[in-house]
Amino acid sequence: MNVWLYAAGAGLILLAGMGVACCGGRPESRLAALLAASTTSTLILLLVAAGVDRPAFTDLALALAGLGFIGNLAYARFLERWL
Amino acid sequence: MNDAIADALIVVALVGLLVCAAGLLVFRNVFERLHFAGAASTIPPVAVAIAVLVGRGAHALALKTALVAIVLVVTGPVLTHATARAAHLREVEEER
Repeated sequence: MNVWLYAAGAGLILLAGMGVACCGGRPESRLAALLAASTTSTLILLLVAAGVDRPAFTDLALALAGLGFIGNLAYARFLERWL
Repeated sequence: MNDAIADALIVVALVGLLVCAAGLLVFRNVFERLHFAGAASTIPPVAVAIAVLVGRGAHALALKTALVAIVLVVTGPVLTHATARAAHLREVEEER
């Protein structure tokens, strides 16, 4: 274990808090929490990649950053038009 | 020395995420929550990217981390704007 992996563990605890925030409030408020959770999970993957010193693991973070953007944008448009 | 700087930057990133999580848990309004969600996509990614650059050196890991940080910093405001726009339009629709 090193400081990067400890930081990733702390990030997981914060991610759980954001998960709780995703469970309460109006749909658009939940979407705001989901937005932050997506960013946090990307950062956790980056910290794990740095912790185990495997540059290939950052590809996961890059994929999540792109897919998170598309997914959150789709949710926002969906909320705007149909819900 | 480099490790100490990297550790300090990791702490900065975690504090940024902690403030974001606390704000999301305390506030219920979407616009208040978006302030904290938007902050999470600017300060922590940049701090982590610089920490990796300083702590691990300018190798593939640092370059890829910087790329991810750039993606997060660029897309974060777009998502915040899209969410705020959706929330505003829903409010307007409900007032009719």
